[in-house]
Amino acid sequence: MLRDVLRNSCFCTIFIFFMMWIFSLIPLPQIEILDPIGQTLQDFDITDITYHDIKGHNHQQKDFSLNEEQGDTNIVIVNIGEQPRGVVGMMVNIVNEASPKIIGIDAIFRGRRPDTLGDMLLSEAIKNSGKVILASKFIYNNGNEVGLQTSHELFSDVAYKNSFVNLVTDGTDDVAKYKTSRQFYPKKEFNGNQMHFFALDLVEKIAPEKAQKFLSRENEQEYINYVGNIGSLGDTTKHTIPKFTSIDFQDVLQRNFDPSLFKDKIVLMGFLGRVIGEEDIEDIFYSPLNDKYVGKSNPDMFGVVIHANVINMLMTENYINQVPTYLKVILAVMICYLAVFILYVVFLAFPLLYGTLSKIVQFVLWIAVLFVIIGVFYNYKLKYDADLAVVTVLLAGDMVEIYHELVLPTVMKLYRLIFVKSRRFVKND
Amino acid sequence: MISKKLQFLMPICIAFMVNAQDVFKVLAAKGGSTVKSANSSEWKKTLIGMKIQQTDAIKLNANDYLGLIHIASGKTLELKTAGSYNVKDLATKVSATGSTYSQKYAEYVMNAMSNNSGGTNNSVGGVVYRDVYDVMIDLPDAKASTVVSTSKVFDVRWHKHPKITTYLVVVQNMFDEVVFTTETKDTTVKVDLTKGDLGDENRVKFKVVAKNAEERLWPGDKDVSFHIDETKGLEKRKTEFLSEVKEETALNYLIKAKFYESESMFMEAIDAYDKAIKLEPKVEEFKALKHEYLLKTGAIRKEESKK
Repeated sequence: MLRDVLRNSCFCTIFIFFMMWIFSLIPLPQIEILDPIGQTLQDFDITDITYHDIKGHNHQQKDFSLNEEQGDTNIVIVNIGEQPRGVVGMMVNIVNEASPKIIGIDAIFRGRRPDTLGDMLLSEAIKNSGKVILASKFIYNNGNEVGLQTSHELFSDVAYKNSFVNLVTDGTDDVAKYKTSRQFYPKKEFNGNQMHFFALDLVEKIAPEKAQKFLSRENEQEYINYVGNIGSLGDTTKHTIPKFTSIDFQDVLQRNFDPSLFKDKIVLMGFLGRVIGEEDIEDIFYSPLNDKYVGKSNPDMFGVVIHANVINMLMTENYINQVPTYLKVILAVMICYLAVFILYVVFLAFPLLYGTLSKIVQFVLWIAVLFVIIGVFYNYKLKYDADLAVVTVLLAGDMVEIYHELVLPTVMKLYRLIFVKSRRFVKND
Repeated sequence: MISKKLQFLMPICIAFMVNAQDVFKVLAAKGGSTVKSANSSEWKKTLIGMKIQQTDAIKLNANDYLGLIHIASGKTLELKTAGSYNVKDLATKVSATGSTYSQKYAEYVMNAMSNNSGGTNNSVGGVVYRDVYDVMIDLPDAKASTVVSTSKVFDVRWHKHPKITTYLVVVQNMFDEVVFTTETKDTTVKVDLTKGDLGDENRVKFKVVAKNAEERLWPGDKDVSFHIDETKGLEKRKTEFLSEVKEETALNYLIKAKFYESESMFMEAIDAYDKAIKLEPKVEEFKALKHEYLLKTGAIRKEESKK
């Protein structure tokens, strides 16, 4: 009996994959009514649950909210707000006095401003520091890369380096920018030169061996292992995971900070709102830490904070690896077989209650697969796109029934017709 | 040889040093939260980056916020409720709290099943996210300001773009239907909204793009909310006011600009500022006032932009 179940489970698994292949060949009409669902789910990634609900799990105590994931005090994010260039220059000087390891300014100072003195102040500050990396950005037109936007030469010529800040979703077209920013390009070619991602260049300056180790992975795109955001500053509408030190421009200018704040730190200067805590739509992206991982929501993470997350990932060497395609298929087959086996046993044992029980079993199996996917991602930084496996689990319930009630009897009949009767015919001859 | 007294005192000193060790570091602070050390009666303002010791106390007032990181474990906590906190108690609670992946996952599943995700429901019907434009249009942002006018015909101005020779101006209603379009080599155009189908909408999108596809790299666009005052009340107030400010001096134009500002008449306000600046180009305050007005109305974004 067990042997039969094991054998039929095997055949049923093959049947399920065969049916999936058949379905993929059928040109289904565009059903507009399903478009919103498709568009909503297009940007959904199951591992986002890891960020929001597992890593982002906050213990709510009576008087405070605690998150157990590791924060990073080696990175300090300075909000430059909407301050004019001269003021930004003053801030660079103040930060530089405190001997940081490196300063990254996530802004592009295009063209000259009428305030010549402000421009000169900023240029001098960048030059005197000797460790400022400025942002640049690839420009796209209808999805095609058409150029690189950098700061004016007054600033770019005196900076230590100019690095690109484009994320995979950033700036390519009007739809891409609404997607969740999960990946970045470690490097890109431009005019025969190789350019590195902004955060990577910052790490390369202070820990070149870590940067080299990362580049040796030779991936065209890399996933960002997010650790958190800046503090919510008391905004109770936000579910935030504060992991980085952040300071506003007025506190820098008035020197309202501990003297040790910037010493030996990686300092990122960029836009965090006109003041920190104020909502804004400039330079802000959707991250997997968003309060809503499916459906409409506000973007939740400023670009400079995304860079902080990338820097943290590179410095702690907590990269995300992906399960290769062939392994995904093997795992999908194994999961499907397991699901089919369990469902087959339930089907044979409780045929009348199979309709209800199969749904419960499938739900439990789905939760279990999710547990494994999220657990593997959380504990081993391994990204397993289990779409195929999840689909087979969802199909298994009905397919087991179809297989047992229809396919198996049909195949048996055909077998008897073709092989048994023909053998008798031959014998009689 | 260490005397017996010192031998007795040393463990106490060590215990004291251990107790006085840095336990937390300030990640973020808002408001006037303060910290007091054990050997002082003075409450000091919390500074970002400050280290807080086990023997310290923290005080938060209403609307204050403090983000802390527990140095030993890296766990982060947020204090949002007004009150006094004993740092040692906080540290004990932080150390005591811990959950495995399985526990967190189970809680996630239970929350999902009971439809109480623990997150906040802040979905918004569509977020307006605009590319920063290289063609800078002198119009206010709909989020920040409404343009009031007595007429559906008005001038729209933008800054000359070095790479564009002929501009194409397109005005669309909120359904992306074109209500007005024209071409010009100038940087100003008279927009006539009576010629298009606006219906009941009072919000339009202005786009200024390069007419030639080769030049079309960075279009300018503005989402503008406007209100046409057809009650004649505004026109009456404007006439009365202008009759009192007749002289063509820079200061009078500034006064006119302020009047138009108060009535949300953006185009007229900018025109008055420009005239004041033209009459007295060396007075930096006039330029600063215009700049402030443009910032306030969202006509210009932050100084430094990546796009």
